[in-house]
Amino acid sequence: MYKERIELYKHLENKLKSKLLVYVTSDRQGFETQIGGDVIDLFINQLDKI
Amino acid sequence: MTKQATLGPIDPSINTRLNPQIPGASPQNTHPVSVEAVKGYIAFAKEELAIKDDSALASIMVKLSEAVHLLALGEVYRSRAQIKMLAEKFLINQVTDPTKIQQIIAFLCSDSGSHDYTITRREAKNGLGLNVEKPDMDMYKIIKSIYDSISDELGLGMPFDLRGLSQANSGEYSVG
Repeated sequence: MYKERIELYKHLENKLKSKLLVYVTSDRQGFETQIGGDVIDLFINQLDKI
Repeated sequence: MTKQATLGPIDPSINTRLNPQIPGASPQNTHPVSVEAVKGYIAFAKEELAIKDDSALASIMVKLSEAVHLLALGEVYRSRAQIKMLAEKFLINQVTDPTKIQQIIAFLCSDSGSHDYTITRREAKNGLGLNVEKPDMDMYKIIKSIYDSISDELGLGMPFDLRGLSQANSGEYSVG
């Protein structure tokens, strides 16, 4: 779940000596998603925090 | 890129209100028009069928415009130019050889054959010359763990059955 992933993200950021920005889409049958048109603001907000 | 990671071509399809309608479907449901498919149709006529006669080529264009609205075809042409321009802007950050950049763009836009073509890490690095980093085992395990966690949470690999969800547990279900 998300909580366990936070520690993994931190571990990966330390190894990369960089920051992570994770955006997930789905290819699950019946629940396929594409990159949404509203991602720009989401990315900007995350990048501002980074 | 991990060993499972793949890249794909960047040939766009356009979706406008003037796209060909899907027979039997509502007017809002239209066929996406692949930019490269339009180019492929013309290339098929010229290269495979060796059609050179101007009037024959004009007939082919007329036939095409009967299937795809003229303005949608115009969007196809503009999209093709736009995607190449964007690709060049992004590639310059990691590839400096102008010839190499054009080869990569040509492959990603049309030479790969179809939008389904899968570009492996090896091909991305050795074939296309992209600046690809292979993770060491420790990093791979972290990335794989992240992916497995997301996959488990989203149920990737299992068909999503909304009707089944709504019928089970008296309609109660949880997400996340």
